Amino acid sequence: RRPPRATLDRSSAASDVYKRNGINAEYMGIQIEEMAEKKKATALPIIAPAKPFKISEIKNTIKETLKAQLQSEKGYKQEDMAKKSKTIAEEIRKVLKNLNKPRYKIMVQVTIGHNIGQGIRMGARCLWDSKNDHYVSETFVSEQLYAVATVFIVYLYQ
Amino acid sequence: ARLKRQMFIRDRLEEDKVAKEEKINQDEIESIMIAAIEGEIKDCQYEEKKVPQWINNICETCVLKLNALHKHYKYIVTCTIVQKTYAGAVHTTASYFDVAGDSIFTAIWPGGKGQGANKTTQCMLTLFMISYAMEPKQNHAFTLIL
Repeated sequence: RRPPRATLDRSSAASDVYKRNGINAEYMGIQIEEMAEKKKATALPIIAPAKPFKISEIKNTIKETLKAQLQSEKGYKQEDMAKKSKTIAEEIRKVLKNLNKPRYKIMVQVTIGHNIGQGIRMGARCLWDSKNDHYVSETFVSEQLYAVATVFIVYLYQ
Repeated sequence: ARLKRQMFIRDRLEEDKVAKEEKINQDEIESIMIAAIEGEIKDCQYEEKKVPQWINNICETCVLKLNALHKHYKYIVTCTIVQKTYAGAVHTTASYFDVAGDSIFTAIWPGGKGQGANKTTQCMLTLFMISYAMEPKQNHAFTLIL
């Protein structure tokens, strides 16, 4: 009868191979770690976001928050409007933060003014990465007031 | 092409890490903004047809001059031009960014009593400077009253 085959203990076999060739297995481990760290340091940054921000989802929410906040306002008073605009801006920012998209910076601008027929125009110019950075702007007009909300969303790399 | 883009961005990020200690010169930036407004509107009356052109030019000169400073920021410039009447307007910004690295600058024109003899137009500029590599941490709010 043949003797039973010797079972191969793979872990010891590997280290034996290294020892036979004069390389210390631990040294190899350290080298591999160093290479991994180097790779991380010079790694190319992640350009495309993992969870991209979709504008179509946001437009409706912004418009609805504006309407809900301002429909009941009748007159334009400077102090009240200052507080109101702050609450609207903070609410919109809350909503956007709740969407939980990491590595995005959010900028919300809200302008409220007295609607007496004067001329007004708003414009914006941005120097950014048009693939990853977006903006949304919505308006609300009533007999007494007008309100404009613009949101800028900027993505961070790495 | 994608590789090239990634490498370009990686270089900018490394430069940003080195240049983090540079401070922003507030006066310089505000002077750029006011100069851009005055270049366009200084002695002009409010004309509805010219307003879009004015806004375009103001924003573009701002962004070009800021870009020439070669700082590691993304810029967003918003400009509103309002006809001057007894009506008031309120402007608020609420943002979620890193207060140490990113900043907001505003300029209203004409500001103060003596500046600018223009009696028909008012202009408000806001500038967001957003750094590439700093994660957003804090909430920040800011109001302006015209």
